[in-house]
Amino acid sequence: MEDRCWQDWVADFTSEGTRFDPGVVAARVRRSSLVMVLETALTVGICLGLTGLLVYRIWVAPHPVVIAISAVVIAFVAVSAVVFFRVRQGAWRAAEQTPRALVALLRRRESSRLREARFSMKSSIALGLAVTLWIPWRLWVDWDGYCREPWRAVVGVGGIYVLLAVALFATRLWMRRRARALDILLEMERSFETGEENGGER
Amino acid sequence: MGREDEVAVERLMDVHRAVLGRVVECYADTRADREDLSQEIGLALWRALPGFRGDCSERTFLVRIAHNRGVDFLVRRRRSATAPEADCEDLRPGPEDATGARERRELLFTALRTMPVGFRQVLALALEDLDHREIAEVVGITPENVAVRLSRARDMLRQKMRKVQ
Repeated sequence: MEDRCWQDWVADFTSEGTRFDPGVVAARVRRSSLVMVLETALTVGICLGLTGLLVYRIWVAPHPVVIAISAVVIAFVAVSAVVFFRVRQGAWRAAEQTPRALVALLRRRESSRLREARFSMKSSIALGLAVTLWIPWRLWVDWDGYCREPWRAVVGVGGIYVLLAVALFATRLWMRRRARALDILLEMERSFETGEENGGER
Repeated sequence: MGREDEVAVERLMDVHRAVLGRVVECYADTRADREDLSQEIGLALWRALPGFRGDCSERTFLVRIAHNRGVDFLVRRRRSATAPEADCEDLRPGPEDATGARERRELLFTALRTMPVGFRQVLALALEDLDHREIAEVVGITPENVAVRLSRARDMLRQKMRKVQ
C-alpha cells in the first residue's frame, strides 16, 4: 500500500511539468553575465577614478587635512572593493558546497549584516544625541545671528533631525529584512538537523 | 568562460532539463519566479562547471548546485522554508478534476513547497530515483541519516497529501 503510494508520487513527480529550456536559460545567462562584467568594470573604474583624483589632489595641494581625508577615503574604497569581490567569489564557491554548509555560510553572513545594522543604528542614535547636545551651544554662540535669520535655525536643526530620522528608519527596515532572512536560515538549519541527532553530518 | 564551456553547460542543462525543471518547481511557485530561478541555476552552473573535477557524478554535481540556488532563492525572497498550511488548502482541486494528473502533480509540488527544506530536498532527490548514497553525497550527511530523514519526510508528505485530498 505504502509502496503504491510512493510509486504514485514518483509518477506524478516525474510527469511533464515546468519546461526548463536550456536555450532560453543559456541566452539569459549570457545576458546577465555580460551585465555582471559591466557592473564589475564600472565598480573598478569608479574606485580607480576616485583614488586617482584623490592622489592628484594630494600631489597638487599636499595639505595635512587633505592628506588625512584622502587617506581615509582611499582606505574605505580599498576595503569596500576587497569585501565586494571576496563576498562575490565566496558566493560562487558556496554553490558547490553541500546545502547544509551553504546555509551555515549564509547564516554567518546574515548574522554579521545584522550586527552591522545594529552598530549603524546605535551610531545614528549616538550622533543624534551629540547633535542634540551641540545645538544649545551653537544657538548660544550665534544667538544674534539666529535672531536676525530665524529660518537658519529651522532649516539647519530641522534638516539634521530629518536626515537622522530617515537614516534611522532606513536602518530599521534593513534590520527587519536581515532578521527575517536570519529566521529563515535558522529554520532551515533546524530542518537539516533532523535525522542527525547522533552526529550524522559527513 | 570560453565557447567550449558555454557549449558544455548548455549540453549539461539539455541532458538534465527535466530534473532541473523539477528542482525549480520545488522552490518557486509562479512562472516569473521559475524563470528567475532557472536563470540563477544556469549562471551558477556556468560559474561552477570549469571547477568540476569529476569526484562525483555529473547528476549529483548538477542537483547539488540547483538545490543550493533554490535555498539561496528562498532566503533572498525571504520566504519561509515552511509556507503556511493555507497555501496547500487553497490549491485543493474541485471534485470534477480531482483525478486529473496535472492537478495531482500540482498538489504534490505544493505540498513539497510547504515542507522544511531539509525534508524537501531528500524527498525531491528520492523521487528523482537517487539512491541513499547519492542523496547523501548531495546533501552532505551519511546514508543512514538520509534513511531517517527520508522516513520522516515521507510521513510528513503523506499527512499533507491526506489533508488536501
